[in-house]
Amino acid sequence: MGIWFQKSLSISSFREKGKFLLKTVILLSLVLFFIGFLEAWFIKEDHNSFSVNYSKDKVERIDIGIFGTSHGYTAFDPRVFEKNIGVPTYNFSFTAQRLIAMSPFIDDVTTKYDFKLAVIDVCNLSSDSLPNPKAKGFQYLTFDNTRLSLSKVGNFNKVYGYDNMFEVFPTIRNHTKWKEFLDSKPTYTIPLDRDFYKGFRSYFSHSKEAWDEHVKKFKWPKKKYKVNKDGELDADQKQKYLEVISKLEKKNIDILFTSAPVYQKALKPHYWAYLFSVQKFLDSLGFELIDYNSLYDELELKKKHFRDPSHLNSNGAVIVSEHLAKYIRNNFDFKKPPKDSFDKENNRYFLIDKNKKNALYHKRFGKNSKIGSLGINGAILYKVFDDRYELVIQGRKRVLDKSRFKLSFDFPKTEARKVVDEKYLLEDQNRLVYNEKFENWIDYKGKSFHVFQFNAPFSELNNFELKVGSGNKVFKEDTLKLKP
Amino acid sequence: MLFNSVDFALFFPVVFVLYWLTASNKNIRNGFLLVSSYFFYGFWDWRFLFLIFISSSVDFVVGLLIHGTDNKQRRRLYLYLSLLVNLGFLVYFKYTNFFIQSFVDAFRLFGNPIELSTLKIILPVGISFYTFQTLSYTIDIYRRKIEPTRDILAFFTFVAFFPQLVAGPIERASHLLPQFFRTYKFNYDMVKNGLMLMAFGLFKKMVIADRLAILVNQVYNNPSEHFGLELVVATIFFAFQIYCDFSGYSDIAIGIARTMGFDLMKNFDSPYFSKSITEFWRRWHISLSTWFRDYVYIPLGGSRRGYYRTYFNLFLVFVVSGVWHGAAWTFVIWGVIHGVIIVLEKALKKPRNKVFDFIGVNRGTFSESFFFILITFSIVCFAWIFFRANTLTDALVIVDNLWRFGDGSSVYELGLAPIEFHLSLIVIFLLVLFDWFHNTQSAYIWLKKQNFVFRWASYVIIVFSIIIFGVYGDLVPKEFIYFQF
Repeated sequence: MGIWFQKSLSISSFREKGKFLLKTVILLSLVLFFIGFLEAWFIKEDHNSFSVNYSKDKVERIDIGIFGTSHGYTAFDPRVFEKNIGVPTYNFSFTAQRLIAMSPFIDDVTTKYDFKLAVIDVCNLSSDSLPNPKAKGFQYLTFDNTRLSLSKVGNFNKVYGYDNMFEVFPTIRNHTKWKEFLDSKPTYTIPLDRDFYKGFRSYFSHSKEAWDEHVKKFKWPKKKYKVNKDGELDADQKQKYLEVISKLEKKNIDILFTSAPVYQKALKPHYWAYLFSVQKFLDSLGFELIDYNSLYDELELKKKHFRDPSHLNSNGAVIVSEHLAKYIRNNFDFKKPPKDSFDKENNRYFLIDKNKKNALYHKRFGKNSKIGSLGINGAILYKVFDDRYELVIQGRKRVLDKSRFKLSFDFPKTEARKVVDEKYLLEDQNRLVYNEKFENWIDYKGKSFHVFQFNAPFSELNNFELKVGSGNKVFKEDTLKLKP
Repeated sequence: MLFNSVDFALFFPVVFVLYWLTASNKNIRNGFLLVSSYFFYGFWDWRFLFLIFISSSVDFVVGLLIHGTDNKQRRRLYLYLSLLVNLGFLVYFKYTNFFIQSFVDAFRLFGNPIELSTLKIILPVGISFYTFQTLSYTIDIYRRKIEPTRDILAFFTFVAFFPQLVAGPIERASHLLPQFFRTYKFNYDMVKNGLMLMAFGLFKKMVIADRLAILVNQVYNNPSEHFGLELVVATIFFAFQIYCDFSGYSDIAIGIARTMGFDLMKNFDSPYFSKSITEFWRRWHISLSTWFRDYVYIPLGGSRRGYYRTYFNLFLVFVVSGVWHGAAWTFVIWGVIHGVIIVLEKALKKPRNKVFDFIGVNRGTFSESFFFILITFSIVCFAWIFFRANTLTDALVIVDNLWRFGDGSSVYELGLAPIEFHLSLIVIFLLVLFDWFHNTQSAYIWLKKQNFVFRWASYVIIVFSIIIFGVYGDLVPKEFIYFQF
């Protein structure tokens, strides 16, 4: 006896083939279904996947979609666009994303959202041919967060070769991570020093460590990204631009190209040459490229506006976003969307400008008051997303810069298991204490605002208190209800 | 092209569909299979297609010539021509460097070192397999067991049939060749059975063999650094690795052929449940051991010329079998060990039975079977040391270190993380359980009797186990061990 039995070879019919075909299709569908079902486990969770999932789960309408690389998601803050143009905006940029990976992703999001305008942010790497494994590795971030489609499979194969075609499924590519099933996989949360809003995710401040690390990590090659001597993109590079353009045009979506600024001294000749070539090519097609590297001086960008040589921080992002929002408002027509198309109570710039009443908590301090004399003019507390809250303090930067502040609150004992910011938890108590420096400053409309975020997955906060310097109480609230 | 590669995952569905579109016409079907088989082989290195082509051409013509004459001398001459061409290729590509190296070593041993460099020869994949297969055709015609075919397309396809071209099973012309003269109609059960065999083979290869290989390679590539338990574990793992690797390949080959209506011979039959080495060789690489029986052992006189000649014949067959496996002294020693044990088993069979009867051992009991299975497995494992070791010196170091318990590191530090090591033990246990179950009834028939939900869940689970627990990636699929032979 054995598995090796052989039946008569003569049984056959068209029905047999049909039965086989049908069952094969069912089995393959089942396998594909499970591969897809398990995908969430095998996709690397980081701020990129967080951003895409956030849009899927929380955002119903988007009129302006921003696409690009880390330069893009650190430069264009949808808060500013929503406030200045009045239309819901989302930043879909991914780390080191190339146009080849962006193209199927655009297919994906434009199927779900009815965009009016796509802002495509490009850098000197956008259309390169991914010469090294590291650059290729980054494209997984975009592909993994793009739904399966022919366009995705096609471009995936162009990047990784057909030998790796099945790696288009994260479940297959990352299958060795099955061991993580046995441990409880922690849910990714945006770090507290990262300023997330609808895909925008820059850091709040300039960082010397990040700067030095970046300089060490990315030694700028003298002439890495070549354009030919006539200053032309090659055919392959042009094709990548054309693919993205054609997809957006087919859906009647307006296109605007941008190039987010990098720190002036990091901008080498080859970068300029690339941007010049792109500009020339896009001009020939009738598209606009707003190169923020050319506007560097006009916008008065300085080192303090950058997190590291390649990325703006939140403070720099406001300047660039304001400029772009103004350009869009002046050059594109947007019908006013319904009032509830985005939440004004989650938008920092709405709140600090003239809608403080929409905040969870706000207070003003007169110049001559005790708190005012400490350099604090006002405070606003609002919910940014999920369980993330932000305390905005309007004040005098020069005075507060050398001080520390202490934000503390109690949470209901029954909700202790929900604590995320464990390192701020007082031992054996249901109290979180954030003792920090004033270092996250944003200049907005001639005023300085210090922002600080914390996680509060609780129904209410008790004894919510802010102290500055050597124990000066700024405010104290007995109870703040967070969730209905 | 490897069965566990993306190339094959694209190749097979296309061939399968086109095959069944052409299956009703024998010549078109055979022509298509021949082109597919040559493409399959040429994908690795098209230059060596000429070897298969020459072997096929020579044996096709020689077969007709042998059959066309009754002159004994001429018949023998034609047979020698076939042997010369086929074994000539085999010896040149596989053994030239072995002979040169052995010659140099022998001179050095006797104190007269000579300078002789080895040649840069690439071993054509599967040459040992298809050479033996095509030889069986001319030998059987010479023995008048079969008649030659005049259907050149069918014959060329028989030699190059891609499912078993590079690593067997080594088919006899009397069994496989007639299958190329028939036409087949699509049979759902056959195709399903074939696909399940393929899945099972892939599971054995990718989930078990390639996982165990990580630990085995780590230990066997640095034998002087490992002792006692580490070597025991590595050797047992290798026993299961090579079993899963080769029987996995055979399952896939048989499965592929079956999806196209062809029946290939069984190559493995739960060999580690053997109660003697003699039985082991009836269950391990059956197509090779029966080939040696039919074309070496029996022509040497088999068991018809007295005890001592029988023992000599048996011993010689296993030495030749060792040499067939690889051009290295480690394989010769491996063959010698098996040969010696088989001769001892044969010679001591009667005295052993008398001793058992005398002390009252109940035959056929579980404990008796278990004891002999364990003894046989231990001997097989010991012999595997020589088979797997990279050099004879390495093998001797391993044998020496094998008994030194307490000197080694933890088995968890041999390349497999603890969780992977535990998974390896689990899959080995499941394999043994499956083989035991399969010994009693057909797994396929058993599964067929189960309800719809259970069956479909089983299909999905086996596919998913391969996807999730399989060892693959790093851009390169892992080669099958027997490809090197």
